[in-house]
Amino acid sequence: MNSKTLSSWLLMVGPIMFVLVGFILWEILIGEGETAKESVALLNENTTISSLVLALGSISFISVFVGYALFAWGRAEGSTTSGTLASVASLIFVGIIALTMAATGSTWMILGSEGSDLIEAEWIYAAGDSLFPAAFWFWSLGNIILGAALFIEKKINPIASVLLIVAGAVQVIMMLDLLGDVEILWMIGFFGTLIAAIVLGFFNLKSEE
Amino acid sequence: MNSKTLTSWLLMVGPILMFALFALIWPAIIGEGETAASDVAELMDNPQLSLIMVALGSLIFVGTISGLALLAWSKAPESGAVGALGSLSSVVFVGVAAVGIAAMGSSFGIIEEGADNAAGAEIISQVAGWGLFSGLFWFWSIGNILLGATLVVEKKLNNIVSWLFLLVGVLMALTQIVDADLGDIVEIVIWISMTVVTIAVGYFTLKSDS
Repeated sequence: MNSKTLSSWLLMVGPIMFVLVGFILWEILIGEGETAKESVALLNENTTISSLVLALGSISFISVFVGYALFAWGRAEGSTTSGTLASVASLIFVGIIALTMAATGSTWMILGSEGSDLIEAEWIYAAGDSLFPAAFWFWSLGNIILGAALFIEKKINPIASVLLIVAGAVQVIMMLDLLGDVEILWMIGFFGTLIAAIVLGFFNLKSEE
Repeated sequence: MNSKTLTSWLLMVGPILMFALFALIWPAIIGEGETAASDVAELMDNPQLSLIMVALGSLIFVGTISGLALLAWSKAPESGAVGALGSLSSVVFVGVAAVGIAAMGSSFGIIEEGADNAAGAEIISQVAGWGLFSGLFWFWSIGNILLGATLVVEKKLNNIVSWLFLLVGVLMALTQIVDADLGDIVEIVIWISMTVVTIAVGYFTLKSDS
């Protein structure tokens, strides 16, 4: 296994695992609270199950960005435009890795909280949860910059680079609320971003580099 | 465009935009945000405008830190003390960029939460926003000291600018660890010094032969 194979598989498997664990498994085994208080209560109903789902969910989510960072890092070099853009993209994705580690990792502090600790647990939950929009904002910027790098480089199928740019642009529009709070557009932006990652992983694996 | 050109322009344009946005435009359009409660109230006055300002602010902030990280990264392959200090400062600046992404980006969470839960948004502002910024400034100053030392040892950039960059890093660190009320004027002078010296580093990097 080399860096190309690993980054490709992380980009292909990570988003699928993230949807399976973060949305389906989480909803079935833990449940989604409307408020921080409800979410903390749900997480503490069965801390063993919550720990397992949290562990799986955090690994799945972070592995997507590890895939992006490895991929971008492999193209980072200072003498070309594509290499320079890839350097910036790799910086952004490393930043997102740290951010998502903090966001998902802070949830461990909540598990097992009781009595007077519950208030603090709700604060930690609210603060950790607030980091996810930050991750999505910079994910969209990372996608646009990496997509531009690949488009200029012309070594990977252009479908992958165009998809990254389009998915990133749609997500920027969503984050800035430019078209209002339309749920279907959110879904397109979110799932489009995940599909763009899978497509990138696929074409990277198939590339001859 | 190569890495040197991008790094130079990020270092020249980033600090100017950062000062213009955070010292002038943000207080005028959004507000000063003296407390977590007023911070949330000001952001929720016009959420659409706030979203655009947060997006712009985060881009400018992370762009500037990325410029510093790229400059430090370019020194990492060098041998001896320059390579060691360059590597170390690049790691610190990547960390600072990560904290900046979290701290600036958490404002999206504040605006989202503030629509129907002001108390929750205030907690996010206090913990994820201001809480993270304190750590960010400390490690920014450490990164500046390390990068300044790299430039001083390397002796390829203008010598005075390299020493000034190091000195401003030390001053930034002192404002974090000295328990004294320095007043707004001193803090603004240090901020302006940091802005000017970073622009100078960007300028001399662009003009350099390497």
